[in-house]
Amino acid sequence: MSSPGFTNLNSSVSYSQNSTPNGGAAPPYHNGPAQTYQSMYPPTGCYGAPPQQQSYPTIPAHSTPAPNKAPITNSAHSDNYYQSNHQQQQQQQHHLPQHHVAPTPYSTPSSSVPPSQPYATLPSSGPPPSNAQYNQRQHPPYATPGSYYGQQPYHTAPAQHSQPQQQQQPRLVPAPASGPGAPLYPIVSYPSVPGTSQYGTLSSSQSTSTPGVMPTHMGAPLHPYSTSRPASTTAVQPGYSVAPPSQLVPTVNGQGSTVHQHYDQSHLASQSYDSYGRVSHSSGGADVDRPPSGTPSTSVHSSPGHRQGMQYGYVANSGASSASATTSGPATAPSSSSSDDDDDEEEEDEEAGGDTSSSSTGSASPVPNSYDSLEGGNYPDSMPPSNDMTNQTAPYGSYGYPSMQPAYRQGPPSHTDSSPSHDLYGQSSYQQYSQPFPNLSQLSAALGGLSGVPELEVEALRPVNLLQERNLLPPRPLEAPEPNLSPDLKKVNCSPQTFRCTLTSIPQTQALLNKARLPLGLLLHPFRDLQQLPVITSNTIVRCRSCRTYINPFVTFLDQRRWKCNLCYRVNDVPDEFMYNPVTRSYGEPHKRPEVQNSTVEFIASSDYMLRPPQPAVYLFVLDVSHNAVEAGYLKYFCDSLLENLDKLPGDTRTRVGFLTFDNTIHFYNLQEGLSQPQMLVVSDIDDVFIPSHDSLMVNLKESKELVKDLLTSLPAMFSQSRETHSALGPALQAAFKLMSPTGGRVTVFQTQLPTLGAGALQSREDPNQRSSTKGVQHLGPATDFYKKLALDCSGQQIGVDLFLLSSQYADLASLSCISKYSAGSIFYYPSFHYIHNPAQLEKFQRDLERYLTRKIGFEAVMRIRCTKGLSIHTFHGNFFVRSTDLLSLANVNPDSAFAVQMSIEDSLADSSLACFQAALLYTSSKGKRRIRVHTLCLPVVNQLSDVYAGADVQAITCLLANMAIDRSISSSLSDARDALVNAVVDLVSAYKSNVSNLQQSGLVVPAAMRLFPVYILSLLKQKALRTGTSTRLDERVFAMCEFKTQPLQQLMRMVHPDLYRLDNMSDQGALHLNDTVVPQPHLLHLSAERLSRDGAFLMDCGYVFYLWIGKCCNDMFIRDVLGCPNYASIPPNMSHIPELETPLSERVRAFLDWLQDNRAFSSIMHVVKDDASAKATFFQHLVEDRSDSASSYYEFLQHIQQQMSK
Amino acid sequence: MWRDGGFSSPTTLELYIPPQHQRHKGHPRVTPVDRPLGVFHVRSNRSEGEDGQHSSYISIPIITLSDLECDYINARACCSKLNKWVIPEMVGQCLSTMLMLVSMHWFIFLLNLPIAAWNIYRYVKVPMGNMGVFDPTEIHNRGQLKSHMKEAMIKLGYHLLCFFIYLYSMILALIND
Repeated sequence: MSSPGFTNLNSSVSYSQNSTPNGGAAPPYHNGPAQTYQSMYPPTGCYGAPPQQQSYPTIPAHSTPAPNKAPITNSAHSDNYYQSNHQQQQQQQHHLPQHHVAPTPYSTPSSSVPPSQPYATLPSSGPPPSNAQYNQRQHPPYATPGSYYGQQPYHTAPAQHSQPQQQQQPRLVPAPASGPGAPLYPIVSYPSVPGTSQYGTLSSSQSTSTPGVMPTHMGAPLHPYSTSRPASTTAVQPGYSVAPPSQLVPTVNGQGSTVHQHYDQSHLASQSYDSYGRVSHSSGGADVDRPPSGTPSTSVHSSPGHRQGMQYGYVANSGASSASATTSGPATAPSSSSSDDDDDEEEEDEEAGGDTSSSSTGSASPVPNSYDSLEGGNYPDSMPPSNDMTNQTAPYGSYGYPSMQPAYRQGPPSHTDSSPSHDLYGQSSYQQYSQPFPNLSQLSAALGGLSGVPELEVEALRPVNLLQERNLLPPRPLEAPEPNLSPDLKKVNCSPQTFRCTLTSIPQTQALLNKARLPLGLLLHPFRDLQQLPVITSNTIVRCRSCRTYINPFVTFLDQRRWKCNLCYRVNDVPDEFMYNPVTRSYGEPHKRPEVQNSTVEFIASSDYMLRPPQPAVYLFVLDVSHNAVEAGYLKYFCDSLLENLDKLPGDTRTRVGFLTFDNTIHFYNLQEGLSQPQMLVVSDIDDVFIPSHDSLMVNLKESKELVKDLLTSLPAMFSQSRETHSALGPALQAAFKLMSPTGGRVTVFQTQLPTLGAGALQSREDPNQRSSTKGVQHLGPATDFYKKLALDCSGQQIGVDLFLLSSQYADLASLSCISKYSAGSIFYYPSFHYIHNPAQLEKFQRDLERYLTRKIGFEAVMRIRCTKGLSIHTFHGNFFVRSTDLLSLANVNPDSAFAVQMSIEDSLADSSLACFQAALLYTSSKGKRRIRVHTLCLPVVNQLSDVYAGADVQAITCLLANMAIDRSISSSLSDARDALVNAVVDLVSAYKSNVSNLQQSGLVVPAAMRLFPVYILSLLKQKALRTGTSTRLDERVFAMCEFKTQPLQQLMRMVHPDLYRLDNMSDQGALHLNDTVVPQPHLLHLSAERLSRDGAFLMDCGYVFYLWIGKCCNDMFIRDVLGCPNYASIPPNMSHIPELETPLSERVRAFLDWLQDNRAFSSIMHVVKDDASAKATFFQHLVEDRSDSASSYYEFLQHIQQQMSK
Repeated sequence: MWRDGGFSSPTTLELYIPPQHQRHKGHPRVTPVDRPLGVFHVRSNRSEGEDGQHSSYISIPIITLSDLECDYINARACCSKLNKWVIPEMVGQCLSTMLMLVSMHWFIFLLNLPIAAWNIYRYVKVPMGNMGVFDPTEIHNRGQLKSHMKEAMIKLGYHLLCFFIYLYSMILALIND
C-alpha cells in the first residue's frame, strides 16, 4: 500500500519488460542488451522464454537454458506467427468479442491473458456508431475484407488497402478509449506489464517487501516447442527482452493519443505487423506490404498509446519475428530496430504512464480486441460472420457448404481460387466484397444491427438431415463453440483449450439435462503450456471464506469492501491488501486487480500451502536390462537422449537423480560425489528388497554430473552380454518406492517384457486367436492389485511413476498401466520396438523422450475442481488418485495430460444465470516454488432445451463419451460400451425429434451444432480401443484406452477423426504468411475413399502420425518436387520423412506440415504410403466413413440409427 | 510430520483451511450435525442388541463412509477400514443364516437369506485388479460412494427390523417358558 509499495512496483514494472522475457530473471537486460540481441537472436529468445515458467523469478540466469522444452524450432515460430497474423487481420475486420474464447485452437495458450482487457471496450458504446458496431460485432462485411487482405499481396496493391483501414481505425479509436468499458477493465495492460513487473520484483529482493499482488505475465513462457534451438540458451535472454518490450509498449497506452494507437493497430493488423517482426512475413509473402510497414512501424513506436492487445500480439509475434529475423536477413533489420525503439520508449512511457493509470486503462481497452484476435480467437469467430454475409441465418454451417463443396470435389484448384485467404470466411463473400472494399465500413455499419449471438444460435439449431446432407465438415478444423455470454464475460472467460464443457449452456435442472440426452462434463488441461500467464505474488490469496474458491473474474463486488462468491454466493470481505492495485498503483479498485481480470492466473503460494518445505526435483530412472531389453536396443538411445538433455531437465541446484537397473536382480548405482567412477550395487534378494545405501543412490545432479555422465556412457555396454531373460519389475518398483519415499519425485520406468519374477509377476493372458473376436474382449482390467496398491503408496509419498513400455510381445499393459494411472504418471507404448527393424518407432521414441525429459513438471500437486452450488462431480477420468470428493491427488503433473469429469445437477440452478467452474492446481515447481494455478470457466444457465442444444460442444461430448465408454468396457464389457455409444446417438436424435424439432421431417434430424456427432461416434467405434472384429492386440487396445483418458481434446479428436487434406494442388489462396514462408491452407476432406483420387496426394493428420498417401497416377512433378523421386514406381516403400528440397512445392508442403506440428507437444511421424503398398491398409483404416471388413460405413451407420429409433 | 499429513490428514495439501471453516466446500453433502446423530442411533442400537455379531458391522460402513464424504479421512484409509469388515460380515451373516436353518426357524432363515446372498455376490463380483469390495480408486466414481451409503442404510434398516423380531421372539420364548 504505501509509498514503498509503489516504488517497488515502479521499478519492477520498468524491469518487467526486459525481465519478463528472461523469465523474470534480470531486469538489467532491458535496454541495452535487449536491443542488440534482439536483432541478432530474436527468435530464440522468444521461444526460450516459455520454459521460463518454471524457472521463476528467482533464478533468472539458470532458468533460461534449462527450461527449453521443445525441439521444434521452425514450426513453433511459424505457428505463433500465424496466429498473430491471422488474428490481427480478423480483428480489424471483425473482431468478435464473443468468439474470442472459442476460436483459439492455434492461439490458445495465449488466450488466457486476453480476456481481461478487451471486452470492456467492446461492450461500451462507441461514439461513432458505425465504428462501434464494427468493433463489437464482427460484421460479415468485415470478415470479407479480412480475407481480402490476406490475399492482398497477390492481387492488389497492399498499400492502398492498408490506407482505408487505417482511416477507419482512427475513428474507432476514440470510441473505445472514451468508452465506459475502458474503466471497467482498465487493467488491460496488466498482464503484460505487471507480470513483467512481478518478475522483476520477485527476482530482485523486493519481492518480499512488495505488499501488493503483482501480476506477472510470464511472457510466452511455455512454448514447449519454441525451445528447439540449442543456441537458445544464450539467445533466449535477448529474445526475451525483445518480447517484453512489445508488452511494455502497451502499458504506455494510456498516454498515447488514441488515434495513433488505432492507426498503429490497423497497420499492424492489416499489414503483416511489419513493425514488430512481422516484417518477416512481408518478406516471405508480399513485398508490397513492405513500404507501408515501414511507416506504420514508426508510427507505432512514436505513438505512446499502443494497444495492449498489440502488445500481446507482440509477445507472441516477437518470437516469431525474431525467428524471421534470423532467417531473412534484410527483412529483420527494420523490425528489430523498431523493436529496440520500442524498448526505450516503453520504459520511458511506463514511468510516465504509471501515474496516469486511469487514462492508460481507458486507452488500453481497445487493445483487448486486438489481443483477442491475436490470440487466435479469430478462427472460429471469423466463420460465423462470413457466412452471415452470404446468408444471414446460417453463419457457420453447412449452408454454405453445399455450394462450396462441389467446387471442392471437382476441381480442387478451382475451389482454392474461390476461397479467400481464410477458409473460414465465406468463400462467396470474398468474391463479392473484394471489389466494394471501400464500402466496407458502410456495410459494416448496416450490418451492425444484427447481433452475432442470436444468429449463431439459430445456426447451431438449424436442423440438419443427416441422410441428405453429406458435406458436414467445416473447411478448417472445428473450433469450440462460444458460450452465449455477455461480451464482458466472454472476454475474460477461460480458454477452451484449458477448460471445456460439453454443454456451453448449462441446463437449469437435472430433468432438463436428462431430456437433452447429452452428458454434462468438463474437459480440463490445467497444466498446459501457456504462452502468457499472469503470476501473482501476494501475502494473502483472496478466497471465499466458506467454499475456499479463489477470487476470479466472475465474482460480483457488492461495494468496495465486499465481494460475493460466484460458487457458493457467500458475501466476503475484501482484504485491505486487495484494495491496492499494483498495476495501476491506485487504491480502492479491487475489481481491477489481475485476479479479477484474468480467468487463468497463477499465485505464488505462501507457507500456508505447504505441509513440508517444497521438494526438490528428483528423478529416478528404472531401466530394464534383461536380454529382451538388450535385444530391443533402447538403452543406448535412452542414455544418449538423457546425456543430451541432462542440462535441460527441469530443476534447480537441488535437483537429484538416480538410476536403477533390473533383470532378475536389482542393480543400484552409487554416484556419490568423490568417487572415481560409478559403483554398481547388486541386490539379488528380490523377495525382500532393501536399499543398500541410503544417501548415495540419489545424488545431486550438479555435484555428481561427471559420474552421471560416466554411467550413462558406460551403461549400454555394461549389459550388452546379458543373457538373463527374467524380469523382476515388481521388486524394482518397490525398491524405487523406497528410494524415493523420503522426497517424492518422478520415477521413469522402462520395461520391455512381461514381469516374471517376484511380487507383481504376471502371466500372459492374451489369446492371439481371440484378437479379432467380435465377442467380448477379456482382460481389459488389471490381473493383480499389486501395481495399483503400489501406485497408491507412491501417490501418498508424492511419487509419480511414468511407464515406457517397449515390448514386442504381450506385456499385460492392463496391469502395468495401473502403476502410472493412479500415481498420475504418463504411459508410453512402443509396440514392436526394435532399434534396427523398426526405425519409425525408434524415431518416435527418441522424439517423445526428448519432450518427456525437458517438459515442465510440477511435483506434489493436488487439484481441486469446484463448481457452482447445485452442480456436483460424480466421475473422474484421467491419471490421478481421487482423494476426496473433489480433490485429485497428482504426485506429478505434466503439461501433456488432460482430465475429464462428469457432473450432475443436484439442485436446480434457477437462482442464477451463470454457472462457474474453478480448477485450482497447487504444485511445486521444479524450482522449488509452491504455486497455484487457477482456471475459472463461466457458462450461462438456460432453461430451454433448444438452448442446450445450441450450446452443445460436439467434440467435448465425443471425448467425454469416449471416456465413459472406456470405463464401461472395463467394468462391464466392450460390447456394452459400444452399444452405449450407439445409443447415445439414438437418444440424441430421438430426443431432438420429440422435443425441439417442430419439423415433421423424416430421416435423421439433428441440430447443426451436433451434426458431426454420428461421424465422431462411428469413428470412436472404429478406434483401436473400441473396435471389434478387427485383429487388435490387447496391449495396443489397452494403450489406446489409456490415451483416451489422458490426451487433451484436440489431440484426441485428431486421433479419433483425422484431418484429411489434399496436398498436390494446394494453391496460395487463403494461405498464411508466416515469417518468410507461405503456409497453404487446404480444406478438410471427409474421411472417405471417394474423396481420394488416384492422381492426387493426400495428407492425413492422425495426431501422432501423418500419412502421406500417394495415388498411383499422382503427377510426377509432385513426386519429384516433394519426395525427391523421379516417379511413382521409385518411391521407396518405407519412406518416413519428406526430404528438404529446394523446390517451391516442397517448401510449401513442408511449411504446411511444420505448421500442423507447431502446437503439438510430441512431434508426429510421417509415413509415405503408396497406393499399392501393403501399408495402404493402415491408411485406409482411418477412412472411417467407409465400410471395412468388420464395421459399417457412415451411411449404414445412419440407417442403423434410424432403425433403432423406429423400434 | 509431513508424511503424516500427506495422506491421512483430513485437510488437504491444497487447502489450508482455517479451523472454523474446516468442512464444506461448495456443497456439503452431509452436514456435520447429521453424522453424530446417525452414529448415536446406531451405537445405542448396537449396544443393546442381543445379536451382537450383527450390529457390530452395521454401523461401521455408515460412519466411515460419511467420514469420507465429509473429507475427514481419505479414500485409501476408508476403504482399507471397510474392506477389513467385508469378510467377517459375510461369514457372520452366513453363519447366522445357517444357524436359523439348523434350528428350523424358517421365517428368520428366509429373512436372512437375501442379505447373506447379497454379501456373497458382492464379494465374488470384485474384479481381479480391485483392492476389495471398496476400492479407493473408484469409490468416488460413478456415484459409488452414494450407492455404498444407500446399501449401508438399507442394511441398517434391515438389522433394526431383525433386532425387534429377535427381541419379540425372545420375549415370546421367555413367556412360553
